[in-house]
Amino acid sequence: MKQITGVLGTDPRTIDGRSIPQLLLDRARSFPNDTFLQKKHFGLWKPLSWAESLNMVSRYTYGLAALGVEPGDCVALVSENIIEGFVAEYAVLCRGALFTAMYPDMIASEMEHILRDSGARVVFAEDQEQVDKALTLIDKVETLEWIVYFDDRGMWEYDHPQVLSIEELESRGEGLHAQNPEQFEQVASGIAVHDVAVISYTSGTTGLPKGALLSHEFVLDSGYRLMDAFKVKHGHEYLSYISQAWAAEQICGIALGVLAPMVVSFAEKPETVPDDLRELAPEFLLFTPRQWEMMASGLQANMFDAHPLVRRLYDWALETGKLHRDAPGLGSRVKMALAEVLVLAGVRDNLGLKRANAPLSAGSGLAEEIFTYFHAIGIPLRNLYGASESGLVAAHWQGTFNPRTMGQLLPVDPTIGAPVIAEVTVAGELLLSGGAKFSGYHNNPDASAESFNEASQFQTGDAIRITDAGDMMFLDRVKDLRTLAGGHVYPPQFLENNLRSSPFIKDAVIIGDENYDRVTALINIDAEICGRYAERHSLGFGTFAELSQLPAVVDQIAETIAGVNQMLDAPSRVASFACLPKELDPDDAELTRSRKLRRNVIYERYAKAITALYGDEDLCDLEVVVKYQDGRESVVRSMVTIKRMENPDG
Amino acid sequence: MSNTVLSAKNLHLTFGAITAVDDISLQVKPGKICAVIGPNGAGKSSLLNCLSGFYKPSSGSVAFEGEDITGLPPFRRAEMGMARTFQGNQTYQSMTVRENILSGFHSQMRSGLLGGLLYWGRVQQENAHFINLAEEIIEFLELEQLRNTIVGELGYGLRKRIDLGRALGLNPKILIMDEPMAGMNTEEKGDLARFILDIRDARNIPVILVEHDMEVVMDISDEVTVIDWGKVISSGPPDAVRNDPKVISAYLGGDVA
Repeated sequence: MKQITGVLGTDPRTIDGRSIPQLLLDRARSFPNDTFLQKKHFGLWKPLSWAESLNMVSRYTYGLAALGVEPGDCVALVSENIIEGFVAEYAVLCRGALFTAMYPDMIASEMEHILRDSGARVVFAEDQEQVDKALTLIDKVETLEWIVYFDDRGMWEYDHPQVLSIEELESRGEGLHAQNPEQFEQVASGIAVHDVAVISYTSGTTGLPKGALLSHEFVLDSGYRLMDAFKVKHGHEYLSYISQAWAAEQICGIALGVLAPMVVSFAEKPETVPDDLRELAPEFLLFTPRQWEMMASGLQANMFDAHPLVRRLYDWALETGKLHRDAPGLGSRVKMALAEVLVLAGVRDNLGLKRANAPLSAGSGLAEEIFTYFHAIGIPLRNLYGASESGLVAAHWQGTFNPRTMGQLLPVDPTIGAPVIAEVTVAGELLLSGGAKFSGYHNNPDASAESFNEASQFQTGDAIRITDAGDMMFLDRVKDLRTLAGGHVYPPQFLENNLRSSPFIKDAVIIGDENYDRVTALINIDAEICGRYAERHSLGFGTFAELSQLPAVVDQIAETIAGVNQMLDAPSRVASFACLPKELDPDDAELTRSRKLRRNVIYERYAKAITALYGDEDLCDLEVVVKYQDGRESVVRSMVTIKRMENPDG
Repeated sequence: MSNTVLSAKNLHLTFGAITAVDDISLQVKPGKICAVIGPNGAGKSSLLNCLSGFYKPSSGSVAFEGEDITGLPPFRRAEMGMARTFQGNQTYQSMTVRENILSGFHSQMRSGLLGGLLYWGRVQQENAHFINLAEEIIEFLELEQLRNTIVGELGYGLRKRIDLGRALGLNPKILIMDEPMAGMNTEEKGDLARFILDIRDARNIPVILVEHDMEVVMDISDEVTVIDWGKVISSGPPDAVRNDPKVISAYLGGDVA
């Protein structure tokens, strides 16, 4: 069992017992004329000061109150990131109600579950498309009473008694405001930091999405962790791009927006994000790995169209950047300065990342290639690890950037409590304690209880390895781990995924469970790449079977495996492997049509090779029946090399 | 204001011995989309040209908002609020999307060459005013991400949309569109159909549409006029026209029993 303890933050902008509405009121009092929110409209940035923003929040809040929304009720939102969506959320929170958001591309049936489970009485819908979806649910979901829309385009003909525009909502609130002008501030300033603010629905890859209850304290603490770790300054620019339905935006946009406070900007529409990003050049931004990949591939696609000379200059600068990161020296420093001036500074400017000192990637793993690519062009991309239930846990913030890890434990707000303590159980699961605590799931006491163990540590369900440098390395979900005969738990999918990312390997089958004492692998080589490799080394081969057993190819695979082995502790490493003499094929039922491994079939067909992997022989005489598409069968017989990794423990 | 925006009475147009338009009358009511359809060579474009003033009818009259405009040249009609888009593409290829749409406002701009060169107070204000109007159209046609893109780099469907944006720059009281969907793929057609409906509903501009694509016409039009050999053979709401045996015969050929 391994345990590490994080640190407490030192930034003086602590939460200090204030909820999001209280912080909003405080900031508006302290900086009434500074910009808080801004949106782009008609091609120009239109800023809203803190005073104006608060006024807009207040108008929405009175409108909600006029519709009968009481503290403790729930209000939902389905929209792209627009300024009105943010204001609506602050208004819901200031009313003391719970807020939940849905992804704008959700279909009505997905929305139905969330609306029903959260018991939302009002749904804010961005435009006609979202209103149409919500209208199909208004009679089905008993609690849903009102649909309020922001964009009136296409809404001219709608005449439904429960559908109103945001202007109508505001005007309904006017009377209440006149009657009781103190109400807004009274209610808002009474919202406590421990109150639940948001129901954030998990992605629900297994079963229906569960609503994680996030308190003000919880999202603000995670916001503080980012602010302290990445030195987010008062007035830093942030482009709101990831959905409010994702807990990450609750932390980065909604909470950190009022805590730092930042200038939160909204793109004109999703398609204009690249242009808007460039104009803003935000200091702080969080994208998903997919979005980073798209940015990198967009840039590469543009370079394909560039003049050959430009392209060569770019390649040179990229190479220089990479070399300088890996092994800085006097020579590389001079070349780097030149590359900066000629290429890299311009590239960063074009991507809108010239001021980005905390560009973050979160959500899932980012390919190492993409990570090093951004570092080569001088963008200090960092991984961020967290979940709706655990908040933000770790990130690269202490100056080291190991792309294979998720970085170090983040610093906790000292007014919230103890630093985060991360502990990895024998079974490989990460347990967390410290910082603001998760409030459980909505309408789901069983799941809430299960998320904590007896020692009231949060059970993440993630298999994490803590490296010697103190970095968190994500291996797998715990349920996907396997146990060896000796009781050692290891991550087979982590091995398979990392092996597969080598160009030489098309598929890898990791073997090793309760019946075996070691981890071994069957490798399906990539015929094309290995073929070219053999040609370049003037090695002759006739068939796939021959290619797969060429000593040079086997050595190459061994080298790849050794690299992946380095990432894991000794008993989890691949001890021996064999290259399959034929490709895994859906026609032979070894793969599904979507190229997923059919393990049972593979184990059965290659049983002899598997036995050999755990034996002492260096060769295995293997016979495999191959089925052709016309139904004929033939037997492929070959001598398969059993390669044992040298010193797998070293 | 009368109940008819544009009306044509007994229009005739002959080229030598050929009668292109033979006694056609047409009325466009406020807030309606009127489609003119017919086989190739039926005289649809000739009719449009008579309405917008490119051809002078041999006899008959055209009235716009109750006023006889039969003798007016096209640019005068444009100033009165008749906008038109043409077959094919009429954009400025080397200018940006926004500049193209701004060019639609030229008949409303008052600054002269000297003022433009000096770019003094009133000219600046006028510039800002029209940029704002152009941005409204850009938003309406959902072109925000392309506002600074050179039009020549864009696909055909988008260029047609910009063409439409420029026509909207005239702040028209009626919009005449000559085969706007020709050469578009299904998705582009769907987009444009939606914009035409929005022009009617949000901007309250009646539209005269000459179109080949029957499906689109039947979907979005309020009134359909079918012409063949220069004559109106049927007119009315889409459903009535669709089932009219004369129309079926004109499109499919042969006699109708």
